[in-house]
Order: sequence, then C-alpha cells, then structure tokens
Amino acid sequence: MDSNLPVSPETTQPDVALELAQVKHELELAEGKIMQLELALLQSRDFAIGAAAEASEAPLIRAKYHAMYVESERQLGDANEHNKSHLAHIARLEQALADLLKIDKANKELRTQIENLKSSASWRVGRALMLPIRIIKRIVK
Amino acid sequence: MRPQFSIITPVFNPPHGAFEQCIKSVYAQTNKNWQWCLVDDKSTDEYVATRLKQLQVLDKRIVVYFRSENGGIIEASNDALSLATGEFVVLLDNDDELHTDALADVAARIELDPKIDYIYTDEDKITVDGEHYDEFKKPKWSPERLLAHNYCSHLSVIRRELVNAVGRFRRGFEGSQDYDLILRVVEKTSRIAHIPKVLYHWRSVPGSVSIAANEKPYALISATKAVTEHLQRKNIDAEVEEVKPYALSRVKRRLKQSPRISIIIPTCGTKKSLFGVDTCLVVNAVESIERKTSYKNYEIIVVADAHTPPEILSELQRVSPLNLRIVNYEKEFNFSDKCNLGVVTSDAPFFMLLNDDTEVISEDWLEVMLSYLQEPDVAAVGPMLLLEDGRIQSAGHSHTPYPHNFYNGRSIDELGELGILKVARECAGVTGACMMVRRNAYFEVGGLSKSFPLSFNDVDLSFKFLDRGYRIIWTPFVRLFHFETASRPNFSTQKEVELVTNRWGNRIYSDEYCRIE
Repeated sequence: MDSNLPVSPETTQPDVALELAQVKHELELAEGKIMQLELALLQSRDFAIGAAAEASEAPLIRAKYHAMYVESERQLGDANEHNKSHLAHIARLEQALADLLKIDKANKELRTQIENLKSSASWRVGRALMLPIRIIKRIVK
Repeated sequence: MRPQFSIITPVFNPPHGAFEQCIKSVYAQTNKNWQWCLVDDKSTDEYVATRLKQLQVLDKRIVVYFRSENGGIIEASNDALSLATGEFVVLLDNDDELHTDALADVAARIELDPKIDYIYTDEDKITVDGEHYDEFKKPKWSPERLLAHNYCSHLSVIRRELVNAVGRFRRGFEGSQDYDLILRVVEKTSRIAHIPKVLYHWRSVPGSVSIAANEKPYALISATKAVTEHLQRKNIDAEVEEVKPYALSRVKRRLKQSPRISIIIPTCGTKKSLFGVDTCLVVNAVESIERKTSYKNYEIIVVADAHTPPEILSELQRVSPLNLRIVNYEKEFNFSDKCNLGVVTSDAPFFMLLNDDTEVISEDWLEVMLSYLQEPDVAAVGPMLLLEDGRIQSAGHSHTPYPHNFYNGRSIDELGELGILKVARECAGVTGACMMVRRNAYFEVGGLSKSFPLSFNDVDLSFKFLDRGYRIIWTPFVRLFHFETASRPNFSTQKEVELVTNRWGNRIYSDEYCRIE
C-alpha cells in the first residue's frame, strides 16, 4: 500500500481488526504447534534416554542371567553327583538288607534245628541223666 | 602405588583401657603403610607420657610430640599435622578404634581413583565394654545433608596437601573443628568418595558427643558458625537455624529472585470424603493453594480429563479467578502425558507437579522448595507429605530394598535414623504427587515418560535426573497433605514393573542415598 495516499479511518479500522484477529488465530495455531512439538520432543528424549538406559543395563542383565545359568549348571552338576551318591548308597543299603535277610533266614533254620534237637528223646534222656550232676553243681556254688 | 597414611591423633588424658584399644586397632591394620602422629596436649596423667614414649621407641612409624602447654584439641591436631608426611591424613581420636581393614579398604578405594581427595566411611559406636551399636549407614556424597550435620565425620581420610591448602584446623570452632575442616575441604574438591562399610568405632564415654550431641553445647554453636561461614564463602545468601531440640541445622536460603512458578494439577474431578466432609479433591487443592500460599508469582494449570464435570471447572474458576488456567485432556488416561501437557502449556522456569488429592499446609511451601532449586545442579525438590490422619505418607523415595515412600505410615514426630526426618537431604527420588522441578532439567531428560501411565513415572524421572548428575532434594520444612490414592487406584501394571527394571536394573533395589531398610 502506498503510504502517501490519504486513508479514511472508517475503511481501515475493520481491516486492521480483521488482520489482528487473523494474526491472533495464527498465533494460537503456532502456539498449539509449539506445544505439540514440545510434547514430541519430550517423548523422543525420553525414548532415547530410556533406550540408552536399557542398552546399558542389557549387558548387566545378560551377565546376571549368565551368572545365574552358570550357577544353575553348577547346582545341577552338584545335584547329579548327589543323586549318584544317593543311588550308590541305596544300592549298598539294599545289599546290606539282602545280606541281613539271608542271615536271618539261616538263623531261623538253626533255631528250628535247635528246637528239634531239644524236643528229641535222646536230649530228654541226656538231661535226666545229668540232673544229679546239675544239683551237685548248684549246691557247690 | 600404595598411598601412605598419616594417622593424626591428639592425646589428652584418655581412659587407659580405651587408649590401649585404640593402639591395638592401629597395630592390627592389615595395611601396614602408615605413620602415626601422636601429640600429647600436656596430659596430667603420667601414664600417657610413659606409654607414648614406649610406643615411640618400639615402632619407627610412630612419631610423638609433647606439647609444653595445653592448647586444646585444635592446636594439638595441627601439631600432629605438622608431623605428618603421608599422602593422606586419617583422623583418629585417642579413645576410638579403627576397623582392622580401615586403611586397606581406603587404599583400595584410592587405587580405583587415584585422584580422589576425600574419603569418608560408615561408622558405629562402641561402649567402654567393647559392645558395638548405632551403626550409621551413611549416604553417598550429600552436600545438602552436610549443611545439617557432620554426617561424614568418622572415618575421614583427606589428602594432606588439601588439608594444608585450606589452612588445617581453625581456632574458634572447638567441638566442631573437624566439621569446619570438612566443609572447607569439600569447597575445594568434588573428588569425594564414600565407603559403605563400618571402618571406625566411636567410643561412647560419658561427656562424649557420641552419646548425645547436646553433651557439648559449644560444639553446636561452632557447627552453626562453620556452616554459616561455609555458605558465605560459597556466596549463598542464607541463614542457619538450629533444629531444636536436635543437634541439627536448617539452612534457609533467601530467594534472589521471584520467578514464575506453574502449579500443574492433573485431575478428573474426583470427589471423596476428607476429614468427614464430602469434597471435590481438585477444588480443595486449589482452594488450599489460594488460601495458604504466601508466594505471589504463581499460576495454576489444571489439566482436566474430558469427562470432568463442568460444574467443577466453574467452581475452580470461582475459587481461583486470577491464577487459574484449565487445559483439556482428551486422550485415554496417562498421568505422565497429562503432566507433560501441563508443562508445555506453561513457560515458567520452575513448575510444581501436584496431585489433586493434596492440600497445602505450609504457607511458604513454594519459597522453601524454590530456595533449593537456586542451586543449579538441583533438578527437583519434594516435601514431607502427610496422610489424612497426620502420619507420614512420604518422606521422599527410598529404593532399599525396593522403591517405596520412605517412612510411610510412621509418626511425624519421629526423628528417623540420625535425624533423617528432620534434615533437608539428597535422595534417590521424590514422589510425583508433589514435586517442584526445574524446567530445563525436565526438558533435558524428556519429562515424565508416557511409558509409565500409572506408576513408577516419578521413579523413572528421578533416575533420569540422577543419571545426568542432578541432585534431588527432600525437605521436611514443607508439609502438605496427600490423601494418597484418593483420586486413582494404587497399582502398577506388570509392563511398568518390567520396563522400570529393564531401564534401571538393580539400581531400583538399592539406594545409595538411603540404605536404611
């Protein structure tokens, strides 16, 4: 617009008001955009920092899990060893039990033989014959 | 290279048994690279002179000086410093004991970082009968806490060059001469380390500060003077007040400016019975701000969900006609996103994240919290939050043994371990329910993470601040009610737990600022 031209105030005022309203509107839009950009900036910074933190934690977590794995392997090895020992011990106990059962059986057989012997006629005769001697022995004691 | 230590011990009529234990503890050191500088301050007990002469003859590493007149602990300590030739000085009182590994552990720490200037360790107390008690699990380097009391104290190991550079012990600080020395040392160096292990046993004998700090009132006066001068040297405009009846100090920084503060309150207009009255939480919070706040330059930004009843919004406008702005939030609930929206709506250099289920108690809450943020490396400040019945809701965060609100449910009258509830201090985080934040720092770390819509967003934010070298301060000198979880359920999703663990690993289960379980 040529500034030298005469300007009527009646015709300019609405133009200026309109222009002002438009500028205000544009300003509001710009402010809204700035806010959106600031929100996006916050989010992307958080994402970057979070990702970096996770990345720096990852080796530690990996190391932790690896240590746990190694420890578990060691515990498994120990458990297997214990298991083997336990199985061997059980086998030894079973063998001992079998031996005991055998001895028990032999004992029972011997006991039966003794019972049979004691109930025989020759044993009774022998005891009757030895009775005076046993009495004398008691008296002497 | 292994550093040589000069143990500095002023001696004045120590109890015989305690002194013998002290000698025994020095000889028992696993690290043998030490020199022991003993200065007798004209003891009247003949046993002292005899024993010291004997020690000097028996061991070349022991240097003894007999003062011709009694000059007090400061003069004697300075004389002992004059005898020292080691790279580091180790401060040991004549009736205390060193842990067997004290020098070895300190040497190992120096080996990790040979440029280190000052090391302090945990300590405990020991009775005359040798019984240990009162273990002090100290925080990592906490300059704000050091203004409240000499938490570093024993064992302190300082580079000798630095001790000489700052002018050694000073007269006029009797009873707090070591505190004054430490304050001057930490002004000159940032290479400070903490060893989280008890390496010093402080003998509790009647009349000793180890039994009760009030035993020596002149020590408190000296401590206040030491802190005041420290602040002056650092050009911090503040006054130092005694926290009665405890032997603690409060530093009240004066505000240089009164910048604008935005108080950001996310809400959905929840109502709840408070103190027996049916109350709209956000209206109550805003009303308490308007009624109580003495600071003038603030605005309130309420970020309201789309379904917030319009009559509540009208009520808010009525309660705060001049300072309030309402921002509509039209997305699915996400606490972090709502706060971030409030933040970008404001351009204030500092803002307060405030839950709507809070109520202001302290009139100067904004001034006090802002005063800490005048220190450029402080990113956030949190207050003492109280439950409706007056018990503590949060005294900052602690991550030992897992993230939680420190002292939750305990009485406000408690002192806490070594006054932890009565002093402003560095901490691993403060709750997002009430947190004053520096805008620049908030933007630097990406604000509250949208990945944590419900829980751990404040824990995550705090870690992001700490990771960038910022400090977070908790203060007991500001109080608000926090009617916890009144406005939303208190739970975290499995996804949030996994994410916070993936991001920060074991750090969320161990807190170097607060090791009290």
